[in-house]
Amino acid sequence: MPSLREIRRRIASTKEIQKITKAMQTVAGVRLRRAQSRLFAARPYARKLDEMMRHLAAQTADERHPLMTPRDVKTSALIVVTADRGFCGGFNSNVVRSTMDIVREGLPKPGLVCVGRKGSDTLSRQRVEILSSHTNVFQALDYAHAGEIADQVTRLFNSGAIDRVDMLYNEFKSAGTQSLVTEQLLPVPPMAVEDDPGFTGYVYEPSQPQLLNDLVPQHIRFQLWRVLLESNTAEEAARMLAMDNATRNANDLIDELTLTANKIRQETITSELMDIVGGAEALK
Amino acid sequence: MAGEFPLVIVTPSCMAYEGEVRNVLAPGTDGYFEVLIGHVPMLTSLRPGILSIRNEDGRTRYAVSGGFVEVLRSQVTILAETIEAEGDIDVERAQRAEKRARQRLESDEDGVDVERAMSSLDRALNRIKASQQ
Repeated sequence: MPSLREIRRRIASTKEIQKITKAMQTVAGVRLRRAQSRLFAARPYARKLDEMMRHLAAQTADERHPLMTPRDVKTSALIVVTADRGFCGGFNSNVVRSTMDIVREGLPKPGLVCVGRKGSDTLSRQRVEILSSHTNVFQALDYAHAGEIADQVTRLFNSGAIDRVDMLYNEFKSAGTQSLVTEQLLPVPPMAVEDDPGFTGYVYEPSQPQLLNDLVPQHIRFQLWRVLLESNTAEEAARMLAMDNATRNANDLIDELTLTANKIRQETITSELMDIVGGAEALK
Repeated sequence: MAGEFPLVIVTPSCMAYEGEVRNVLAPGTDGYFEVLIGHVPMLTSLRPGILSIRNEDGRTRYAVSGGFVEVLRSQVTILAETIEAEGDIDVERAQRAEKRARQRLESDEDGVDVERAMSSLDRALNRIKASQQ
């Protein structure tokens, strides 16, 4: 049986931990809102860029852009997006586990591009080829950084070093759920060409192929940016949930310990009373 | 009096402008061009330069780092990589970027990405220019 003092000390320390988890939960909540608004802010651009790509692709259907042409996949790359920080439940470990599954059976000769410190730390200890690691991306998430990573894999693809690039990341479904998804980045998957009745065709300046040359890499950069925003939002949601659970568990633990402490206190009082009563009886 | 038409400027991180304008002067890859109401539908790319817009409140100038312009009968959309109104430009940062790019171009080390350094120099000079006039 632990002593009363010991239990009281445990209650005190659990309360301290609870304060911390509660604070982390609040911070994650604020960050979640910020991340979410960034995710929403990217939507108009996404819609417009998509529309332009479709229009342009519809007009140049007979000639495929090299970045949009599938080829025999001999080597591939997987962009693995995790968080820079922990304390977010299964967020990072799910990605790492799924990465190892894909490496073992999914892709031919894969190399990894790790985004986020947690994933790159864990995966660098595994027997996998890592093409590059990008850590501390999420503290100050900016478009230029996403662009650099995208350009890097685009160069590899253009040089023929890799034939296909996928992205593995947590998608933000709602504040309560994230789901792990894999998405193809390169070659750019074909777009559904739709007939827009109000659309009459453009004047192109400079030429169409030249425009497509500019537009496709921009599209790739933006896809990666969207994925980073998505993962970042999912991360904060996961952290908020994990910290909420932790706070609640701490509450349960405190209740349980308080109960035990009270029992011990009562028992001590009872036995002390018995001693006094017994002593008094003996004196008579 | 020239008519007005709706203009939308979006970047990957925000909606930078939405409203009626009278004209747009933009730095196209093949040179500056102006869009007025009734312009023929057009798709074109932008290079770093100064974008200027005239609406009811007067003329506003922006430093733009490249992007695309889509002109349709009903509206004009500008997809910019980054865009800053002349008052919002961080001149010090641009000057630092200029210095850095020049250093990279002048160094003899291997592995200097000349193209990237050139374009970052371009962007920095453009910002400085936009903030001065």
